[in-house]
Amino acid sequence: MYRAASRALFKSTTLLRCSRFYSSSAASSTATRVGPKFQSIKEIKAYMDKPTWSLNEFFESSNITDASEIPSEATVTKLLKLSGLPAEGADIPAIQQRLGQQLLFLRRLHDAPLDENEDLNIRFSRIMPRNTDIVDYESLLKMIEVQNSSKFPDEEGGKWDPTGQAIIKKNGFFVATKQNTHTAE
Amino acid sequence: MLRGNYRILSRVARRHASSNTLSSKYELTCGLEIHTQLNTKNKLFSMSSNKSFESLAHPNINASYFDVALPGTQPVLNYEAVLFAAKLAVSLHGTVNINSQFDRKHYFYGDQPQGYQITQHYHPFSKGGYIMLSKEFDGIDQDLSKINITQLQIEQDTARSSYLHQSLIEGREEALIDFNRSNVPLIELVTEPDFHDVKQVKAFIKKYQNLVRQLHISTGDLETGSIRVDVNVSVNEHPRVELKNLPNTSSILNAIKYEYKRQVEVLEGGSLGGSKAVETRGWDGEKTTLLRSKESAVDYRYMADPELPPVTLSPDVLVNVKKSLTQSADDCIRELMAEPYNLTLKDAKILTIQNDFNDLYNNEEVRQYYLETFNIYMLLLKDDNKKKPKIIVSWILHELLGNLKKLEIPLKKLNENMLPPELFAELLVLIHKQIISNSSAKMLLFHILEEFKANDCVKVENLDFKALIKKYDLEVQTDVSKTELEQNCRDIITELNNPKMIDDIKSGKKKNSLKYLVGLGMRKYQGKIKVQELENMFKQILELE
Repeated sequence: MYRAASRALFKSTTLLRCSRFYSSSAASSTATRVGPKFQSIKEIKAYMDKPTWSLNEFFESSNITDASEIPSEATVTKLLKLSGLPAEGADIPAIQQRLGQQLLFLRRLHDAPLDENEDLNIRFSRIMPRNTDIVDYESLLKMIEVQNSSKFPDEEGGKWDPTGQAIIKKNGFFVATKQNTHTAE
Repeated sequence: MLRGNYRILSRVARRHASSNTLSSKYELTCGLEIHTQLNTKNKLFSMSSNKSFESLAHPNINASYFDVALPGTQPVLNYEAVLFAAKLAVSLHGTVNINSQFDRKHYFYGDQPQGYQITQHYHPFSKGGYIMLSKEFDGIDQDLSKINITQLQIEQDTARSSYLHQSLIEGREEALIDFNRSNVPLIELVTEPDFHDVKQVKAFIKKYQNLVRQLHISTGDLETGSIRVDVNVSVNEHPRVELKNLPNTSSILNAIKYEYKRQVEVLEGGSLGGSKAVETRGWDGEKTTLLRSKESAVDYRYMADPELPPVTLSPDVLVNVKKSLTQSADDCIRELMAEPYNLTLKDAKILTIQNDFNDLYNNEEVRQYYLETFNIYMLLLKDDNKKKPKIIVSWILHELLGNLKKLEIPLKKLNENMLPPELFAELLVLIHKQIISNSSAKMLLFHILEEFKANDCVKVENLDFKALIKKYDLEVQTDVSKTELEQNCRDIITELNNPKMIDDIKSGKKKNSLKYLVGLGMRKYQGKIKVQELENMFKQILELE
């Protein structure tokens, strides 16, 4: 799944890095490793010409044909509210169309064939799938010791003024109003 | 002013609530959701200092780029919070999930500019566990009551918002936001609906507070918001009502009592109308008020946080955490009440549970001091059948701690620099052997503590009680002439000039007044006479034997 999506991204955008993405080894179902460097432009072209699917094609084929795929006006209004976005003045029909198409696209992505040893486990649904190291007691204590003694400058108390760039502030506080936060009811 | 009003409302509410007793016809069912701020050194997903209370006067001083949600910042888990959560979960007999994970709970509010709170929704840190309450130690009505825990989850606190009264009046509703509290680690504990009366709720909260203090993972204070309790209340078939904004134990208990009465009235009035709507209500000090109904319930759109890896613990973490835990409070109290200590429940609780909050000592230090003093005292008097070990706890809890408080001397300093348990045990042995009287020993103890404080608690070498007793001429006289003693006692009775008291002592009406006469005698002899000698002489004169 990940490899398929990254390949599509790779093809539809400019060349990001001249290395190949490999899926994980058999022992690890979630890790990704970066393959050997491409040695020539020829190798890159050959890699890119491998038959695969395109993000654009995939997206275009997600056109809505069934009206039931379009989320209702009430759903869109609710989502705008949940997202802290103003519903007043919003082009609701246009948002309904776009959202419907995006949802269909996501459904198609979910149906995309998986490579061997890849799965849709929600526990690993992150930007870069990975296996985390198992933390034992000794390493836990060590990590705490290291973490407690290392801070970035912004983590040192009083080393910067968080309200420095705020438009509205009062006596060191930020000021939130209904106007500037779209606070949910 | 606001506080004054709140107190009046609370008094009214207490009167109102206390008039309600639970009816057997209507069963109360409660469950708790407790948020506990962990006192880790740093925050949960950044390394800015976790000092939200100390820095109240300096808003936004401990707020990193991540804490104020600057775009591009990412969370890094503070593993100290994981260790603290493991301590709590193991203490509560819970099953720790060695593969827990963080999720995003989305909502928009000024105190959470990320637009979501990082919590553990799908894979919480631990599940199950319990706290056992008992009539003996916790004062509930049942002999035993097991309160089951549903789960524990680690999550981040929000920023602190405060509203300006003036802005509310003017309809501007400006909230002042302080990010010192933002991203402070919290543990949310959810119980099963196992509470059926308010005494159980009160006992559980107290026991839980004691536990987090004993584990040193939180200050455990309700008043400062270190612990925040929400209560789910349901009477019979009435739909569950969630009570929020309960700042202290009395608010929690009064809100439950009020809500019980309200739900009973709804059920009796038949106005429930088959509604199964779950409500969220607040407490204004007098009554519960509707905050949110099911219709406006928030959809949090939980999703796994893509920026945080799963927390994968080796089972040895739990084994070692278990090893590092001290005895449970109940076991400790039970041990102190048994042989050889034989303490009362009250004294055993004082030595076990942190109730007296000050910077001078905590219950663990006092218990350790007591146990060491006890062992040495018993060793020094191992061949004495008349030894009275009960004086140890009495002298430590009343005399020693009272003086330390009065003179503001930390117990740790006293132990290290002047009066370790072995020397204190020596003083108690001298009292037991009547080399120094109780009253003289009290004076001597206060005097040496006062000098210690005056010298900035610097180390005192070779403190020698026997030498001090000689130096200040405090030794109990063993060669008091019987004639002189009798004359002095008769003088005391004459000078007292209170025939009624004497008659009452003689008739046995007021036996304790004899102790008053003995006290006057001790004063006359400046504490340098054995109490027993005085008592015997008074009894002889008043023909009590």
